Amino acid sequence: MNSRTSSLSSISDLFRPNNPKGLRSRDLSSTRLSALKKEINTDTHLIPLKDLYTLLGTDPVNGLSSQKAQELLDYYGLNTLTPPTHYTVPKLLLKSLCTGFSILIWLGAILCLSAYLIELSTKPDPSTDNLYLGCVLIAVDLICGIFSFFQNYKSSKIMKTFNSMIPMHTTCLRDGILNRNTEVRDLVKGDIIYVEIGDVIPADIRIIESRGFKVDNSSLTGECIAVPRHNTDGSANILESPNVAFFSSLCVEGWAKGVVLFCGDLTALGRVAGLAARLQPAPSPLSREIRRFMRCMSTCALALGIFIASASMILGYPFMQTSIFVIGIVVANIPEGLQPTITASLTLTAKRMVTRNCLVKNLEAIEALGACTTICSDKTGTLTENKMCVRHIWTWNKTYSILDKEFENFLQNDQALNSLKICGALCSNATVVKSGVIRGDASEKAILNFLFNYCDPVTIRKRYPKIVEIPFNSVNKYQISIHLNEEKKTYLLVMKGAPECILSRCVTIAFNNKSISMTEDIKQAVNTTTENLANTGERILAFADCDLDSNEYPLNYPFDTENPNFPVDELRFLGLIGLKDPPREQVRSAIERVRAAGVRVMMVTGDHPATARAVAIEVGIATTPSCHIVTGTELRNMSPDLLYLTLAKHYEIVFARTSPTQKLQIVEACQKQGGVVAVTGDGVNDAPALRRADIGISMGIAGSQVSKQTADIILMDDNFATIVTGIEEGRKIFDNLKKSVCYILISNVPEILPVLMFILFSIPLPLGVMTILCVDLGTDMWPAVSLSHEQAEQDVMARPPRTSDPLVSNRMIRLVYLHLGLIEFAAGMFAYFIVMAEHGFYPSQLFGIRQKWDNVAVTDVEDSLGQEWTYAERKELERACQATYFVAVVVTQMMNCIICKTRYNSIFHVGMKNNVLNIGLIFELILACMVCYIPGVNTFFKTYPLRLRWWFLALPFAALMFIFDEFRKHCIRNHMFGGWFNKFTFY
Amino acid sequence: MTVKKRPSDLTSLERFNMYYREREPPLTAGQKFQRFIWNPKTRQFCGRTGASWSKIALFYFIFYAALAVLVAICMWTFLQLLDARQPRWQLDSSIIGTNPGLGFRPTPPEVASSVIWYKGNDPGSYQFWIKELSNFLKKYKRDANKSGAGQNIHNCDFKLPPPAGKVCDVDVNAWSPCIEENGFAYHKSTPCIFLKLNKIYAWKPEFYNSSDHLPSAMPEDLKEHIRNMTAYDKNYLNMVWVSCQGENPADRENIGPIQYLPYRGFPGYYFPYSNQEGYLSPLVAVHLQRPKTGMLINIECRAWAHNIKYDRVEGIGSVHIEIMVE
Repeated sequence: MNSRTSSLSSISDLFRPNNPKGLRSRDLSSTRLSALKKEINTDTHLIPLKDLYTLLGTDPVNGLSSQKAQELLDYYGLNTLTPPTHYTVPKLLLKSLCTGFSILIWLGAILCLSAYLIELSTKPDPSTDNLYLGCVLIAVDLICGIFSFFQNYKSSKIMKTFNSMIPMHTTCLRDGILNRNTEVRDLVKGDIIYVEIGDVIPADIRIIESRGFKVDNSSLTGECIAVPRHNTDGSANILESPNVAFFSSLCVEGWAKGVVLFCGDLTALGRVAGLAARLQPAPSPLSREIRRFMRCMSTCALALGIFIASASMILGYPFMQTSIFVIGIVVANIPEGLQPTITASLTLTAKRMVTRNCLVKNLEAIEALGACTTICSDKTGTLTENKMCVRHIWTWNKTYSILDKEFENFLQNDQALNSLKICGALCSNATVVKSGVIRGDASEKAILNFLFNYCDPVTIRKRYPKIVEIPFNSVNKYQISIHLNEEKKTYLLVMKGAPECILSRCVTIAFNNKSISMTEDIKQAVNTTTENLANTGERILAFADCDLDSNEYPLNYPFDTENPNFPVDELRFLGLIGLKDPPREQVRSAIERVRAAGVRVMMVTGDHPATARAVAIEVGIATTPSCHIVTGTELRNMSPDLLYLTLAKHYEIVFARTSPTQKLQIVEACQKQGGVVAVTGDGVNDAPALRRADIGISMGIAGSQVSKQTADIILMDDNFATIVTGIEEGRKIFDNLKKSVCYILISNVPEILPVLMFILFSIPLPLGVMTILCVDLGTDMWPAVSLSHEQAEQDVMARPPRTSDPLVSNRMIRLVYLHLGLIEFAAGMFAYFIVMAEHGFYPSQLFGIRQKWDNVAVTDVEDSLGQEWTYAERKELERACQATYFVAVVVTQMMNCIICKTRYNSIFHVGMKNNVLNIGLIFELILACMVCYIPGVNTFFKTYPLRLRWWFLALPFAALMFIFDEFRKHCIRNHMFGGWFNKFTFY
Repeated sequence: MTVKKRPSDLTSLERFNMYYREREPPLTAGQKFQRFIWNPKTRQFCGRTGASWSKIALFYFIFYAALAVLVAICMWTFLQLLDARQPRWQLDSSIIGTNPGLGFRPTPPEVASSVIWYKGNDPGSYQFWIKELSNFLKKYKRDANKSGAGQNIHNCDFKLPPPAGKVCDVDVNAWSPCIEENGFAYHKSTPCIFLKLNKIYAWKPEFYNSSDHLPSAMPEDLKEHIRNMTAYDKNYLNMVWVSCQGENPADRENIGPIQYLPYRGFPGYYFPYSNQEGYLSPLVAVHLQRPKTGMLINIECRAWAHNIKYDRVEGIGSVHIEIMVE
């Protein structure tokens, strides 16, 4: 006990307001998180109340003294939920400005600016090129950084939503004085409080005294059932203990007096909230891959840059020249357009998903859904409608199913069923509001709803006005009401309750139009039926009635409900009604399709194992009745390894009676197996799991605010089938992203190699840094994004989720860097050489010319035909050549875009039906024209108004690309050369 | 595409095999690397067998050969379409334009520098410049005995322009004292600088061939010279005039008298350039006769013709020289 208390005190220390252990705020937050992940471990609900009073230093009659309360308040802090310490905005902004390629681009910008400054200090009129380039690079960086900042930065409203669940005032006993307006946040451990119907419980309390006290614990269990709570012995698991009521639960019936056990963050809900707000979702598979790829690319770029820099320094180039080399290499190596393209593609898909009633809050979740290997689904409200319905009726040895088509006939003819209908309509506290809306207990609502289909309970009620009633309580487990039969002027006693309780009070049973006496056989039959129905997860209510003798009970007989002066035994048994929360319509077929797509579906619910199993079988999560069921209690005793093994051993698992923390554990165990986990849930209790999962899916209509706040995806129509669409879209977008990335990377090759040519062969620079940016962030963008509009090439739902298929594979790198990219490079160089040759510089002349070419002081560089070129003329020619190279890249990229439309099928088969892409190609061409021909723009980007004929130089190479790739895809389709192409270049 | 079996689908034998398959002893990073380079078990080099590597080599050989052939064919075709004797684009349709740049020799050794600096009494320091100039002028010293280029040469005069296909001779001795034998007069602290006009195919200068309508920016001494020439012989006016002067008033004082050899400009009979065999650009030797020593003198030389535009900032139509004699 001591150890328990000490662990208790240590966790309560952690949540004290004045940072007890002197930890840094981030450390404190993570320590708090790990403390929260553990199950509540306490015995305060088990020890006798007297001991508890001593432990808490309180008194049930007078409550705490104000002084002591104030001391405790100062020490432990307010009874509120503490928001987690997050990165502050500037810190987060800084972080998003310095991730991925950004650092390299910053490096480039710094090099540019320092080159400019050096030039400024040494020359009277420095060229502003470096200044411009530096500014452009900074702008690129800022835009990309702010872009990703807004994507990452979501102001955490989770805590706010939780806090809105808490009431403002409560009734509290202090110094022997009952104060009805005590502020909830001033409550401390040991306070004595009173709650009554309609109140929200302001802290975790242990019941001292109660009457008919019922709470709705849906925020912790997800089940919208009013459960009774009173002063009895507690059970080991505090969450199921019948003598504890929790923070944020709604009192739906009765009143209670209780002593506060926990406050604020330490309450059961506080822990859920703390977990939901503090947990960082695992990075999505896509972002993990992009990060890995970016790291690779950056390392390559940096290594190459450093190599070039040191080489040129050793060779004795001045700093200026070296920095130009390095900037060129770095900028060319980085696919700047990658991040914006992926974001844009995902955004477009998200927009498309909204039209399918699927709101995507976190873009990467779409792709993660495609990669998802496991779905952990909550039961109530997600798989089921969270609405009780009558499913079975039993009378005299016969079970009727509501769904049976002939049921209506039975109902008309059977007298016993008629009595049951009347009994059901009368023995109920539910009320019918005018517009047909029914208010009341879930099962009573269900019964009335059912009756509305066959008769009118309202008229029945008018015919039988209620005289008195004994309401349901957990001791009696039945409910009695007495009605006046206005026609016969006799009294009718009706009773409803738990089957065993009712059965023991009955002596006869209604059979057709007569009553026959109850026998052991019949009792046995009733019990069997009850058991059978209960096994399918139904909740059973039994009904009985008794026509009171008009002689014995004349009109205006004074019925006394306190000491019943009327028979509560020797009744007539009418029948049973089986109630059930039915699965949503489309769930079964949706789960079938999801499983066909290789995704494992597990159920994780707070409900009873039997109900859970029944629903699991009904919706197809479990295919055999013997599916593996793990309850919360078993889970408590499981080591993480055992849980891991269980998950590996059984494919179909149902987790029942799980606490919010356990849901989180299950998700983490699945993730540890390397799975991508989607969690669907609607309740507050799902929040931590939703947050931690790779994809949190919440219900738009039935879902609680908290679950919507934590989820990545919200199903607006609560339709589980939308998840199937989501998986399909996710897989499609992944395939298409591969195409986009391939397309973007290919233009990298004709960007890097010119710089290498420039350095190695000393030819005038074939492609300027500005033009590189123009390709990466200009002409390439729309076509790259438009590839995300491509149709799926194969049936994406017919294959299992990708596990080892990365976004950027070695095969793609091979195809890009060794094949297609080189063709583009050849096209560019060819165009460059032709323009040079047409002006008199034959290729042979160009090699080794750079020294003279880039020297401002040399006014006469001789070409192959003896003409002599001044510096300005040379530079203009260089611009023309670079522009031609740029145009060649644009032309080949257009062809490349057509090539990238398919990875497997022939273009002739797929056709050019993607209009976004077609417009994108035209846009690319127009943009290239604008960059070349608009005065001012072309001086800024260092391009040149080209002659028309130079636009066509790249065409033969575009044709080669097309032929090569069609041939490659043909080989892949037909598995030619022993599948060599498949193994080598099929990305 | 094969569907990966999940554990529950496996048969008991498969499961048995899965759990009891041969476990390899863990390798160190070094061993792993060694295994990667050469795996004797599978006979793999760098993760591939010899057959696999040779297939790759064959594929890339064919692929790159095809690419190279395509480039070669395209290149050859396009170069065939070009005239080997004259550029595809000329004058205004070419980027080179119609504004020939002015250049000077000797070229300073430093990159992007235009400073000629030496010590008048130290032969070691001006040896570089002399060598530089000798190198440059080597091609101007034609060997009369040598056949070939010599056949083309024509002794031109203002009245006697060269016939088509012939080129005009440049007389090295006409630059005296700016001749190699004299060390280009560097040793006397009176250095010679050679000016040259860039060759532009088919470019013809439009001369200032009358003493009227001379631009106001033209230095007085050049105007005077043109007037004198007009009086002397009008043929001599067909010349792209050259003027050199200090950039600042101080420089103008320091620069001293200047002599232009052999003429005060580039004689018109050298133009147009049409890539003739053995064509030599005309040169003007600028002889600074008494430059002030120990001072950095900024000189701007300018070429004068109606169709030579001038922009000082852009350096069009002029050349900037800095000279310092100690």
